[in-house]
Amino acid sequence: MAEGERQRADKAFHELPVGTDIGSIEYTLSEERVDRHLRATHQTPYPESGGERLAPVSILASDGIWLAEARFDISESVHAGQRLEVLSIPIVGSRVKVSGRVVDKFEKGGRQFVVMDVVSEDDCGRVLARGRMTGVARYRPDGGAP
Amino acid sequence: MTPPSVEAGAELEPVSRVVTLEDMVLFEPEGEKNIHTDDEVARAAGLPAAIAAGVQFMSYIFEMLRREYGFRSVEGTVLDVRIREPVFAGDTVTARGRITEVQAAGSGGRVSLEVWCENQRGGHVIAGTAEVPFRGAGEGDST
Repeated sequence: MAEGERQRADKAFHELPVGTDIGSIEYTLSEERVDRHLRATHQTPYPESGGERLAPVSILASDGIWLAEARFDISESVHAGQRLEVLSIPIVGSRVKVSGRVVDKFEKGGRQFVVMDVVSEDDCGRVLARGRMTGVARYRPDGGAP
Repeated sequence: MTPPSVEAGAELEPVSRVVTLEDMVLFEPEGEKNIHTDDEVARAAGLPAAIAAGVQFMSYIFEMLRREYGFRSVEGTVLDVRIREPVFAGDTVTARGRITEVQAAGSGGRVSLEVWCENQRGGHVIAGTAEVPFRGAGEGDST
């Protein structure tokens, strides 16, 4: 989740032109945040490494959502797909910076889809993950406009 | 330690979870009221009830891969999935994987897999592919 007030944009998320830089957010990968994720997903914690506690990489899969949510009202959007390339295991307590860009938009079955590329990096300069997230801008079961 | 599965056609040990509303609420930031935590908000968005976040059951696939290949294997893993059906509170979701290709390199290599999660009705709620680096027996970890 982004820290601070959610910014309201002039445009709706699905109205952003392809190529739009969505900017970035930062968050702390706190013990509480990691524990909450582990409990929600019933995962076994990773072992410590070099005296540092590691976070499950699945926690990074939400980064693109937090980034979009920090800037736009995506409360009625649904996640349609995701590609996630994991490069480094995140360390609990580190700061994570998430940045993204709109790379594609398309319409299918009467629904508008937005595709974002997202990069997550930590405060040691490590790239943690690169992702491509596809979302339905606004879900309607009949496929029509809201 | 059991060596990891690295033979084309082999299926991984599945990971099964009953998704509860409590899990769905925990997965979201504290106090968040959205289509993943609240039936009314979900219905207002055209859904029959609150649905679990797709990334929530993506984590079951990561757990399955990690159990098979060790937690260090997640570095270099590429997961590419499409969400096909909604998951509701009370659904049982099972992550499964089948090896489609193995590229050996030294004592390790890289496996390609079909991965999916199915619900208790056999519907594939999420499906796609994964590529995972593996190490030879004794070089990885089983945690």
